[in-house]
Amino acid sequence: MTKEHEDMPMLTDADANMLDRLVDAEFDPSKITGLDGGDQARLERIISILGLLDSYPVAELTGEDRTTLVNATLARIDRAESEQADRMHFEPGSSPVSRMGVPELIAVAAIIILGLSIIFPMLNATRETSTRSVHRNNLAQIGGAFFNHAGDNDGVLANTDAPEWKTLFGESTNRLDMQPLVEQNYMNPEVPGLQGESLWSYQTQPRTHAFQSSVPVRTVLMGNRNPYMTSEVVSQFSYQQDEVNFSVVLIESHVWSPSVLMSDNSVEDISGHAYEGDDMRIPNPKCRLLEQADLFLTHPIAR
Amino acid sequence: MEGMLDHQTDEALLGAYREGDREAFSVLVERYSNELVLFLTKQTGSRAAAEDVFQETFLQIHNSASTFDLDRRFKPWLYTIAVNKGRDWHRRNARRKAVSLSANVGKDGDGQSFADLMAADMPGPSEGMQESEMRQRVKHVVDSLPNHYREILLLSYFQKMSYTQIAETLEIPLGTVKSRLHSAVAAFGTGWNQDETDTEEREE
Repeated sequence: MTKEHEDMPMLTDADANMLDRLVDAEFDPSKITGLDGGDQARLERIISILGLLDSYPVAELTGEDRTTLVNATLARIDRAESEQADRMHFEPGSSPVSRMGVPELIAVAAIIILGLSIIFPMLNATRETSTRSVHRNNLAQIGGAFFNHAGDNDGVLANTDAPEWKTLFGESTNRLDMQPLVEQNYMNPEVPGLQGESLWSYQTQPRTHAFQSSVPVRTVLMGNRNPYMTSEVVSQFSYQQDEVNFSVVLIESHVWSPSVLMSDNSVEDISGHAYEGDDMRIPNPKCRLLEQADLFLTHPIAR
Repeated sequence: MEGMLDHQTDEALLGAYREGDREAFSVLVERYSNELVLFLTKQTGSRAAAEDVFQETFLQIHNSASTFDLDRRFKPWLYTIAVNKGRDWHRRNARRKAVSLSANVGKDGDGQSFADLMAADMPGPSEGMQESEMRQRVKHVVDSLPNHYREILLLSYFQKMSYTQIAETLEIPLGTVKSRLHSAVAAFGTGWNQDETDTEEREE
């Protein structure tokens, strides 16, 4: 309380004593008797200045005011009570879950669907990407095998009359068996996915033509799908050796990031040059040799 | 029923309310509505604020009813809460500018006594001043007092509380009650004189 004594206005001791007596008398001067002249004057002065307080402008409450105020007070207490009850209530039947209406359910479902719609394509895209990189590698391997074989056989990409190519392409099936190429050391037998009849198939071009074993294969289409079945994306490049043009065309069943096997056996992304259509007409100049292709090689993509 | 409740003590009414008698509480609120609102109007300087603080006070009474010791008296407790709620209100509305009361009065100053100050040509309530003007001046001086002076002045003069009751209500020692009331009265007197001087200067 020391702080309170700093800068406090002070009364004289005589004034203070008189004030104390007034407080005891509940400010009724008539209760204070037996004063001398000086004290009487002091009493009157203190009463007169404190009496000023009675002039503080404040109106008594009317009966109506009081009723209104009492009702407002009780209502405020009720309101506070019910707010508190809302916060505290965890009885069965009033749990947040059971109070969830149709709009809330729809909102929750929408959020879940939104989440799934973001996650699933991501998962699919990841799977596609890894599958595609395997197939690209396979294309590079098989392309290299064909071109190496062509280089060793006077520039003829594949003579289908040769016994090994008959084996390779079979007589009537469109399955392609890479085993002869592997056996002739044109392909690395360790590369996964290259071997086995089921992985590769072939078609001749144009599609109305039956495969003719007497025609040397000069143009090869390579892709991850049978072009006549899907033929979504087609591209090609040409390869020249000993004045003979060879073409390799990549068929991609996915419009995003189509890739093509290049003459140096690299796999190049040709999106933007690719053509999407349901037949083999390729307006893209890069793909103009497609119709001259003798053979499609396709690789079914696992989906 | 209501008539019966009207004659019960504050403490009995609060006890009944604790037992679930809502009517008892409304009698209690009604009983103090005029008195406490008048007190709070002077305390806050505004009827609207006073009614708001009044409601907060009784909300607090409601919330704390179960902790009240029914052997104690209700009224000092009510005023303790009301004063505290009034202080909260002032804290929230701390834009009021206090008038400086650092003027020296009494034995610490230049020997001028409080009685001298009051004797110095102080007009009577009806002399030379319009009634409404004087009311506004009283309000201005009271509103300008520091909170702790105003509280004790109101409790003492208007609520006719004894020093002991004030000590209980404000939860301060008896000695502090006395010295603070003395200071409050001196501050009011000084403030009144100061205000009068200012008014005259403005008029000149």
